[in-house]
Amino acid sequence: MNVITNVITAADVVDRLAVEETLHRYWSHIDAGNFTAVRALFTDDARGRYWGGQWLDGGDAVVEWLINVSAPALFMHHMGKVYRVGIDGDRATAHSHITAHITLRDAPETVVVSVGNYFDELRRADGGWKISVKDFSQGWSEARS
Amino acid sequence: MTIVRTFEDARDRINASDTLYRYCSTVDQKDFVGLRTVLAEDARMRFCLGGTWNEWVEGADAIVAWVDKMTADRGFQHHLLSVYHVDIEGDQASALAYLTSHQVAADDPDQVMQMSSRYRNLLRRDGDGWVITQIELEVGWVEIRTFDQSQAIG
Repeated sequence: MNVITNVITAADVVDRLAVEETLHRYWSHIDAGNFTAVRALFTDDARGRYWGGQWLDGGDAVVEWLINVSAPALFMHHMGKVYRVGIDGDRATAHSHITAHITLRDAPETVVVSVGNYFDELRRADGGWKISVKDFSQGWSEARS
Repeated sequence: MTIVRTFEDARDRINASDTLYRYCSTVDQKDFVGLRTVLAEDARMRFCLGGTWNEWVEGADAIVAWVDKMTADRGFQHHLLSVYHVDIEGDQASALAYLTSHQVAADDPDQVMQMSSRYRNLLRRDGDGWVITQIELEVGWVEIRTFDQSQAIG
């Protein structure tokens, strides 16, 4: 699925938009601090990896990690774009770009900028799509005041 | 302005946008074979910096060579694109896309070049998808920043 997957049928359009919706909600729910909603986006057996660290096994483990890493944040703004969606039956892969701005409670005059890529795998579930693999790699980060 | 009213409108809008996003992701990955596939054989491009337009680069192979040369000193690259307009007329399309890019220096992982730019592109229908026939890149802001990546989050 590492080639352009052209949208040809109406079903392709529906799947494409539904996958994008799941991925956009991942960012907006994190920014809103709604981790119950974040958890609902993951399959129970989901795996997650951030910044090339250890794989987190299970949707609960991924979300627990997200809660902990987000705890110091005062404001989060994940500006992302889904670049590619490849759909093969009930499975999908996606590549997204992100530039995030994050301020911290103990340093509200400083913004942390994170620039990176997400590589996701999704499965069709509950009438929509859920994330089964979330792999984030960062290429640049800085703190600005 | 093209309003999406039909399934065909939606399909064209998604596929044309995909081609523009694929242009950026292949540049980021230095996937020049992939980059070539999103360009029409007779594609041309030019860019504007500081209000001055450079000469046209003519032909898909010449564009790929130009991108290769211009990004040779870059390591991690990240072109964050948002497609604002896609206007389709038959087998031709025009598009406006906004870009914020971060490009880390290959020889200095603590230095990044950030640009704010706009693409005004033309596309042509090619089978089920679209290829780019013309690229106009208007660079409005370029900034070099440094930050010790050992102090960065992650």
